[in-house]
Amino acid sequence: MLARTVQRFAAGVSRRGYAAAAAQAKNANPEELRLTFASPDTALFSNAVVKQVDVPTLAGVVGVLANHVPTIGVLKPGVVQVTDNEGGVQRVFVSSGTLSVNIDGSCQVLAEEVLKIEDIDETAARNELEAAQKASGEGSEVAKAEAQIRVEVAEALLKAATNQH
Amino acid sequence: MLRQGSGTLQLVATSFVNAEQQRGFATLKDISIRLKSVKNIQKITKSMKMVAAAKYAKAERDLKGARAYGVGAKAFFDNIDPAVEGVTAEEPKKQVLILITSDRGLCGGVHSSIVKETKNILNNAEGKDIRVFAIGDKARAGLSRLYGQSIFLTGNEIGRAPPTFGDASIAAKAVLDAGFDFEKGTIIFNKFKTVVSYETSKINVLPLEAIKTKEALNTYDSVDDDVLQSYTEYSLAQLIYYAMKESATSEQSSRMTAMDGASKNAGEMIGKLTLAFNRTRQAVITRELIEIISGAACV
Repeated sequence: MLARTVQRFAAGVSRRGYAAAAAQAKNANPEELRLTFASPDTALFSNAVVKQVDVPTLAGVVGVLANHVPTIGVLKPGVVQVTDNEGGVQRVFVSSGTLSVNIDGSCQVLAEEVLKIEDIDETAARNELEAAQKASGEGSEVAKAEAQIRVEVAEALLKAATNQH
Repeated sequence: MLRQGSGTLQLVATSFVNAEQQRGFATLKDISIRLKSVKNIQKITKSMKMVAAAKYAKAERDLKGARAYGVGAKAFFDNIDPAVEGVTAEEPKKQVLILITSDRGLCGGVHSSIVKETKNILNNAEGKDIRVFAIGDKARAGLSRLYGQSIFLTGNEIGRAPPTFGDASIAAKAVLDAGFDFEKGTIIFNKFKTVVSYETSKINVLPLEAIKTKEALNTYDSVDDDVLQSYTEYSLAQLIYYAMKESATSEQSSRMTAMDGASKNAGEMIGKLTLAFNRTRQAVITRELIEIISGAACV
């Protein structure tokens, strides 16, 4: 349900992964931050060396640099910001997923849905927010909780679209 | 008397027909019927191959993204539970096997290789409580006769469309909600290598309690129970998703090869049958000619 909801915002925009462009780095150099950033169907970064990743988790936004202490976390809807070694910044919306920074210095951001900020359809997000808010007041406990999640995602989408994060 | 006579006659007649069939002497009609059916089968296998090829191309494209995802999901488990060479850890008692197959057959040995692997594990269980979660009808069908009591969950309606993350979430939820406190989980699936080869592989998954006992976890920062629980539940879905993608790609590629072989074999049969058909037809014509000529010569 959630996946479908988020997908709808990308109306008419073809999605393209950056896996081809991302440099492969298999050597386990702890001085580098090797990022895997993927959704179930596209890999935006596959073990690529980057400078910094900012990830929204349930415990707040985590900024990961090279040599970060190992940690795990659960993503909340928001914007993941990746800074590559040249200082270029990519901002991508994620719906949910996991973050892990491992002992070998690799970092995985695995999202359920990803969407580039430019591709967010603001009106669709607004409509979704209204629909979800309406749905959150009625139905069983489970339906209410699901609607609540939809509200959270839609709010985060709107926030990301209007760039006030 | 008369009846008896006709009885023996019938007996002679049937034995004659039997002898004919044994010699493989088929009439024109028989051959043309067989020829037609083999041609129809070839049409079916050919189109199945085309369908599988199209599905395979899509599955392989999807797999590229899914592989990065799956390898990423595995990284945490590899880090926290590194496989040490030469040391075999003691196997825990309560285990779950998650078999990733599909509902559809006619795809070579992909499903049976998974079933075989599972039977192998179950045969060497020795007092362990190993339960099987069979995803896909083929896994259930393969195990139900001998190891029916080991199956505790089944899922089907998989294989028609490419697997989605939603499917994997449903499967993961079913495992977690089943009320079986397993100490170790293993996902058995077919890892796609090339169009003509796949490898039956395993991914180990650790439930929450098992992760907590690992020493390596202490090096991780800010790990509380809530986060860890969400994380393990989520990564189970991720790993199942990855395994499903690999299995689906192997299945399609294997079906493609199997159907290609079937079409080739059918082509061979068609060649042989056509030859036999033409030969028989010619023989019939010759025989009729002889009959006519010799008849004319008698007059």
